[in-house]
Amino acid sequence: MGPLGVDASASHRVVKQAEWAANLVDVLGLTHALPEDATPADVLGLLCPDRAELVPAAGGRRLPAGSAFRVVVDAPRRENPLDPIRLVVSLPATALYMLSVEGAGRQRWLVDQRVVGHLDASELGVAQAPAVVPLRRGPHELTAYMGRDARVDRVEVAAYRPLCISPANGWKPEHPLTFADQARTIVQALGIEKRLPPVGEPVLIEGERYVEASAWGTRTHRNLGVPASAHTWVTAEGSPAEFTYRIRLEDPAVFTLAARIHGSGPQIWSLDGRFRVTTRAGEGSEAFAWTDVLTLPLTAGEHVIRAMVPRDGGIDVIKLVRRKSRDDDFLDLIEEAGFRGAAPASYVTREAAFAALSNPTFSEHAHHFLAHLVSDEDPVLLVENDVEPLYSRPLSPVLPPEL
Amino acid sequence: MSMIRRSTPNESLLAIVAAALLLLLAAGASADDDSSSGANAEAAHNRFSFHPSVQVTAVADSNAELQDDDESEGDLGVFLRPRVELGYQGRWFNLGADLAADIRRYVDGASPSDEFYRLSGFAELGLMPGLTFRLSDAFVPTPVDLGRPEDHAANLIQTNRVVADLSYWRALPAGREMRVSFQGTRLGSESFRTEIGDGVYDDDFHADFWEGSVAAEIQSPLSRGTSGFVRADARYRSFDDSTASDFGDVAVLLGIRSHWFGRVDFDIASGVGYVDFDSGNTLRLLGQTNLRYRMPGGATLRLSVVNRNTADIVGNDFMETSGRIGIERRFGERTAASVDLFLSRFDDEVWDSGANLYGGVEARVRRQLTRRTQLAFLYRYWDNGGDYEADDFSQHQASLVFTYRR
Repeated sequence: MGPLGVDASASHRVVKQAEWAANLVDVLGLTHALPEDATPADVLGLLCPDRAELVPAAGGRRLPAGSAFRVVVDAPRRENPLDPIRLVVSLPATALYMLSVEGAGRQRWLVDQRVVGHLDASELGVAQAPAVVPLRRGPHELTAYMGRDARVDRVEVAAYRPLCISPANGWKPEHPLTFADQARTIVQALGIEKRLPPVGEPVLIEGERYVEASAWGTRTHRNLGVPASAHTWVTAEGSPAEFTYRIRLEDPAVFTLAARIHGSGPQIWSLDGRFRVTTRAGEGSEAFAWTDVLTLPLTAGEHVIRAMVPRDGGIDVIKLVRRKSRDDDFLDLIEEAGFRGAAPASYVTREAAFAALSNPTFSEHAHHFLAHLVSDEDPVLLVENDVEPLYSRPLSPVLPPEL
Repeated sequence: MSMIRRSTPNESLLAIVAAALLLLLAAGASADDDSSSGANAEAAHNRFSFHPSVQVTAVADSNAELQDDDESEGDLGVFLRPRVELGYQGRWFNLGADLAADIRRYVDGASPSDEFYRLSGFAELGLMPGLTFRLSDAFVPTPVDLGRPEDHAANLIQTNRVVADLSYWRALPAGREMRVSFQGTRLGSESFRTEIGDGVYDDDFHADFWEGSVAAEIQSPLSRGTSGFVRADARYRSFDDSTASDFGDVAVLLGIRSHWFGRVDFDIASGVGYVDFDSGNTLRLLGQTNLRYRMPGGATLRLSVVNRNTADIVGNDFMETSGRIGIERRFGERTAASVDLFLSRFDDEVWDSGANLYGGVEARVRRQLTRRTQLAFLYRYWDNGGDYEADDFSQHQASLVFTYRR
């Protein structure tokens, strides 16, 4: 799999999905995470670990779903509480990874001597790192520095599944890239799926309609100054609590999971145990606030939502908003953002691929891609919407204007 | 230098026809969607797009009529540009229309208030693999005098340009590609007053012409991200009102293009061009280079230099040497600021009036307010000097531009 490259100028050659994937990895600044003997699985693992695990591994072995991109280790005992923790984990696949820690207190973590940030497991007993790190398959060193009252029990390094840059039917490296494929992957890379237009009535689940709650989870009628939906909500009293909800979807689609939550502390939400993010209601939020948790494609059938809430935090309502997710809807979004659209099934030429990848706004976003991944904001992007003159120097007789 | 006398546009417009056709197709597509819930396989290939927008510009102009500095008068203006972009895209064909009005109103009347229309449409049809036919029509304002701002009302006339293009592309072994295209063009303009000889003016000049051209290009990969190309162009243009301006030209270029996505884009081309004018034949060296480099700090450097044959709308022949250098810096994802310097030299070899020289500076700050609204502040200083003094002027222009596009 080589990058779009050898003849990527004003070329009419059709781009293969493998070329486009390699170029996305390049533009998004993830190339350094590829091993020297990179395979297509390595490239696709960086873009969409949730689907890449279905790609046959080296030697034709299929990587087992759910375990290929996750390593859990118990923390070693330390003689001195101020000694740093050092672990070496062997990752089975190349992907974007997020570090999670069970323990307590504030900790500073490094992966391969690069700082991934500070974690604070004080409120939930577990915390996710504030950064996503591209890592190649193979061994990696994890290091943690912590204060006297901090501790680490278990460490998990898991692929960041909420990110999935992929065509609708997954990556097929040798297939030609269509404009529908290109539009979906650009929207996913820009993180603007939330702009897909909503359709139908949202599915609402009252917070108190959980199917399971851990020990400290309880229903309450406490008035926060703003009425709760149905005058009841759930909270964690005395200690963090986890609430579990089940929902059945009739049709597959892109959904936004949003929640009306209470409390300024972090809440860890997960969907089907695979898609996990940390969210907050925001500082100074004394009542309830709507927070977008995740936007991602979901299959039809039953799904399990879990929320871990810190002490005194709470959940009033959970909402699943179905979004239009036809090819046209993705193409409309990228046209609005200043990219070129075309018929969904038509093939992308190298000239068109180059134009998309060279879009200044895309370049700027790609430059900060990893930082955007852990931000729940819908980015406002500068649109190159200047009215281009149709014939900027129409009468120049010789040199072609596209030079 | 030309004096523009506006006449009522009376061109029949393929663009309007294309727009009407697009609306009909869109209505049909909507009906299909309603009846089949999008399951129609054909619907997966075809797509209708619709993007309305409006741009409002407040402008302060130190020299609204582009007069000599002694006679210049400043003015304030408000420009309104409503626009609709329509497209119907199929797997083997594309239809598009871009319909906009450009309404310009000045406060003091130092410059005549004016309206322009930007109505264009095209149809593109894939006849067979590699073979494409494209017919386009653009009823748009066109600059008259080179060396004066190309977007200023005092330098624009309404023209209609119809282009038919037949292109053949083919992949060759070893990653090479070839392309051949044949193009026929008909341009019609509204009437304007212009100098057609030494001190001789035509009050009712139309820059109407026919043009035929052929171009062939072969490109070949040189290394990763870089390709080389050879291109040959030939064309002949024949004017209705001024046969003395008819010309033919041939050019051969050898060049390199290199693209490193988001970091460096670079192209350079050089060759020779032979122009056959009524006033004589000329063999000239041609060249052009463009560079876009994203610097480590996040700023982007843009540089372009060109040396080429150029003819204005009247058919005057110039040797143009132009350079432009600019830098753009992004401040987050929604704000960008840029500064550009430009300098051009037009050497008029027909009337031997010497070289016209112009240059200036442009500064621009843009901020995306919401997904669909953008605010921009633009400043431009333009100075026209050189040996040909009749069109000398200088101008400061500041604009505040609000754009809504969905």
